[in-house]
Amino acid sequence: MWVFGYQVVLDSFLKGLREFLLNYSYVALFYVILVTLLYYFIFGFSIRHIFSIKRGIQYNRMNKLSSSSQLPPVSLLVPAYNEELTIIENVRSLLALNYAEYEVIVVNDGSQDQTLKCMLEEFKLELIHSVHSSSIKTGKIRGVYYNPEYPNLYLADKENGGKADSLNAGINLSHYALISTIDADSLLEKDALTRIARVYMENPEETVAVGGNVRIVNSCTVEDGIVKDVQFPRKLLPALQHVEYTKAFLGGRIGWSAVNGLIIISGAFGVFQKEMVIAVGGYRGGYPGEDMNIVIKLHRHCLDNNIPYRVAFCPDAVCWTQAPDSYRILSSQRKRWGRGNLKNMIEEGIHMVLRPKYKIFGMLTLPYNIVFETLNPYFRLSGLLAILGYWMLNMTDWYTVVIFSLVNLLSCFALSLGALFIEETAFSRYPKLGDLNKMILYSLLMFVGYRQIGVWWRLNGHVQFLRNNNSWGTMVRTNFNK
Amino acid sequence: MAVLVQDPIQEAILQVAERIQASYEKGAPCGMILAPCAAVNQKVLENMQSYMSGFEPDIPLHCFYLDQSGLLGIVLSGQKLINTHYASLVLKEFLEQQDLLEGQMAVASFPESGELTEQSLSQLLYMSLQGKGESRDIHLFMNHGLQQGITSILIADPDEVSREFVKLRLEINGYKVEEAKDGSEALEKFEKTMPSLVITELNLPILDGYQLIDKIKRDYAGEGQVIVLTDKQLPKSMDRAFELGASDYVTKPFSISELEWRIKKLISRVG
Amino acid sequence: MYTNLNAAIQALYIILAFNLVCVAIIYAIKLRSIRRRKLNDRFQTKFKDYLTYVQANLDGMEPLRVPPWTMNPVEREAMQEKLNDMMECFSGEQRHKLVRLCADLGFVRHHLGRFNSRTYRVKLDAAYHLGCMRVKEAVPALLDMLKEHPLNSALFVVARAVAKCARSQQELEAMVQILLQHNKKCYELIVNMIADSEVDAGSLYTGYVSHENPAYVRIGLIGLNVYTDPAAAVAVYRLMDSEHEDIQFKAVDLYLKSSRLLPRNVVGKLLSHPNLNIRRLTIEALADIKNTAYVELMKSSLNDADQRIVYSSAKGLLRMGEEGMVALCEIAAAVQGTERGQFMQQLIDDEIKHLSMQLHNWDKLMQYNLLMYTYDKIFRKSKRIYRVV
Repeated sequence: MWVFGYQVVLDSFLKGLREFLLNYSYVALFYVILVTLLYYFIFGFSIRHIFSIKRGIQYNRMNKLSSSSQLPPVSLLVPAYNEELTIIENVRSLLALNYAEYEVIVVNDGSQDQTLKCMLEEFKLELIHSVHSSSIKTGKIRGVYYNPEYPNLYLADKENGGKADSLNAGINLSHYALISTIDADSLLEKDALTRIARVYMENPEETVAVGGNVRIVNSCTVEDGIVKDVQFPRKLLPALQHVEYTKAFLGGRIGWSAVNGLIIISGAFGVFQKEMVIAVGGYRGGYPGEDMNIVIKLHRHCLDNNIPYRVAFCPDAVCWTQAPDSYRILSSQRKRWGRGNLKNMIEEGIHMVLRPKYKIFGMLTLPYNIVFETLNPYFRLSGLLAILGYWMLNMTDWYTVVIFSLVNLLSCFALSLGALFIEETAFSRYPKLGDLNKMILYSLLMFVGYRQIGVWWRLNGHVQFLRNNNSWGTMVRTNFNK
Repeated sequence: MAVLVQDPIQEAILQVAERIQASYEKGAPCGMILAPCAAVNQKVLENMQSYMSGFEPDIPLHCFYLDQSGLLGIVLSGQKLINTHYASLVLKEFLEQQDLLEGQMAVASFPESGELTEQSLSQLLYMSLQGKGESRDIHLFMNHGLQQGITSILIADPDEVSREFVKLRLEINGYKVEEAKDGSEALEKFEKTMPSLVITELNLPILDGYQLIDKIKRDYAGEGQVIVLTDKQLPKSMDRAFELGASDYVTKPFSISELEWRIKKLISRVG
Repeated sequence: MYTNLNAAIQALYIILAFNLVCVAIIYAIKLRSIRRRKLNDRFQTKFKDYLTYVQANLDGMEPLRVPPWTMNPVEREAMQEKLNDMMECFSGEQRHKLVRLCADLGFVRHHLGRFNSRTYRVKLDAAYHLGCMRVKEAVPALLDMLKEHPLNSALFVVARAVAKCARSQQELEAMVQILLQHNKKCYELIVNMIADSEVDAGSLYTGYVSHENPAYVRIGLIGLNVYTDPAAAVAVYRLMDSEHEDIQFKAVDLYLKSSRLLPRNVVGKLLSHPNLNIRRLTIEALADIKNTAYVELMKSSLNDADQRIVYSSAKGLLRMGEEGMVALCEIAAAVQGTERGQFMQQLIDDEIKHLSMQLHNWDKLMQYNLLMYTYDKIFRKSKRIYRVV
């Protein structure tokens, strides 16, 4: 009797579970179709705009523009922490840009190594007593160094306070109306600033921020701060990151900026209106993700106060950066990003999502970001469990699963192809045919493990957030040419 | 200076000199093209003559071939350098079509290329004989003798168009010119060749123009004059350049004749 | 589930085909660009002699002649690019010769024809090339294209082409008017484009600063920035009292740069202007002029509330020779012990240290001696009671 009852309970439970899983499959289908459609929508915008962008690049002579006295002066802010190996090379290259009027402000964030000493010795900088505004509160500045022989170079030495704090200190010290955030290890191309300035000059009042394109420099030959020979990375991890960046920057950011819904400007290279940055309180310190945070705050400030604005993206202004090539460093970077993303969504995103006042940014960008980026790991996990459930309950066979995952894979692969199309049409930076073959290969390879690990890292990032873990992780500095 | 005096050359000089003299007597300039060629016979000469007449119908041409030295020569009476230069392009096209050209061509026009003397003629012939080989460029022959007061000029500019142009023009005017693409190459070449004049852009990679001027003025005081040739028009840049010791400042777009005039003025002021 | 499966399989085939088509397109584009690069390299070597001919004979009376052989379309395009580069680099008579060469090569006619095309891409390309070749006949058609053009990056390409081709101020004014209709404050870009033009824009800008529309005034002020002569100073004098702050600032900037002689009352008014940046600008201009007559006025700036002004004044006075140094040291000594005094003393110390590193330079050596002497004299005087001799 008792066994019979147990069977009935089990049967009804299993029936309920089957129904649930069936409904889940419809929800999952809906989710996947929605995200794919959204991706295609944004990519479509990117492709539509690439022709107009290409014409802007083709028919504007950068050489002449870069020495014009009408170019807006820019302050480059370079936060530096433990960069003794490469800081001199990078500062020299920053001082030799093709741009009429700009200054380089290096902020030494209480480095533990010889960064400060190297800089002082190399450029013969002397302590000066300068005056700076205190628009934003920052950590204590121990001294400002200068040498009139390098009239565009300033070095601020301060107590350790993190990247955001250093940027804020640089803002206080800067003399010009436009600021540009540069990572200490990025290699800026000579005309990158001019290209961004052109985008800015076409609409100076409304352009509050312009982002540059970040490319992977691993395996390229770098001489005297100039990238001479552009090559696809040889190692596995940088190669995967390369195709990932191409997809995100060329496929995603162009489209998002076209609808004025760009949510992030890379910390490695971005230009902002100083007044606007000060108006939103400067960079938020103490936690990773300050580059996304400042852009979200700019959107909110302008939309709250009905200021006509745009956050633009300039794909031909290139900044080369070194991608981590070891699992350890890459994973710590991605966990950090996951942490930062979650914090930004909770702190800022929640207030703006799905409110018509915030136009495209609130109605499209933020829901997309929350559902398809931040919460992505959970959907994927539940999807995995569901598939397990299907298999155990014999609701489906491997054939169906394979078909559906192939459809999914190929639709995402088409997006990578879209990004490659944009690259070849407008920029064509990789002259060798072999590099194109590799790019297509690695775009496929991305789906066989890299994306899945990415999800795992993001999940870890969330866990770290909930545990209030707030370290910066490690980034071991090597030289270029790897 | 040891000149190869072989009989064929001597004879060639005589032949050429005769023709040029004939033209000179009429008070007109005379252009000359020399090209190292493979076996050229009378028929080829005739074809060439008709081909070139197609482009230059009114110009009298004297074509000849020096068998011993393998040099094809054309004397164009009454033609200045520009037309001679153009004629050399026509000739080169013809020779390449027939696959006869064996080296670099030499183009000259007297008196633009210098004084018409036996020495200059033999130098011209020597140069075209030397020109046999792989390269097929056309070279302009100039024999002005060293410009007074200037040993050589160094031009530093990352922009190929203006750098090549300035180098070419100054070389045509008889100056010896070195070029550099960036600041550190410029400093190297400066230390190696010690030119009396440096023409530099301000926006040089690696070592910028200001630092270059400063180093030159500081470490080699009195050795090199600096003329700045740049597209920076800010008065600040001008002030800074002059403060560091530049002698003159020319903005782009520029006129090459103005640059040459400023160079001459600078030399006469200093020398 | 099964019907879904069929749909899924069909979707799979469609997407697979789509992907393969995309891959084919990408490879086609890549191969084409590789081919183009090879052809371009071939062009460079083949045409090297001809380009030497062009460069060598850019001066002089005789016109440049077209290459004595026929060119295929790829070569023509490469030649056009090269000539565009050269036309940007040179000016005046040399540029005219190159333009005439372009006309002889048939490029002008070619692009004028293309400009009438109905494809936007071709029309824009033709507009760009016509601009590079400074074809004056194209201006009316270019202005028409500009009028109907939507607001994007290409708008400015067309506007720049108009500026390059324009031969009269009216044409430039028409361009400016059309651009201003879009209401984006791209004044600097407009001035940059007008600078590409062969028309002398000095009187255009002078006319603009007296315009009633502040947009035109701003354009005029930015444009006049490179024409710093006393006439400009006169034109902008009244603008220094404008109601728009940015116009005030630009006007003051221009006025200070253009006047040889700055009347004392004007200087006094500017030094006590509520706008910090204007005060700073005035001080720097006075320091640049280095006329010791203004030292008195600058002394009062040392008492300014804002530290940045005190900094600029101190730095400025140090550049104004002996009177300036004496004035600074006297005031620094007078307020010795206060925060302000300490700050000024630090600046003086900085300057002494900086000069002491440049003693190989004759001027700096003189300045150093002067400053040391002045410093010792004044500070020792006030410190006398503490000094044990």
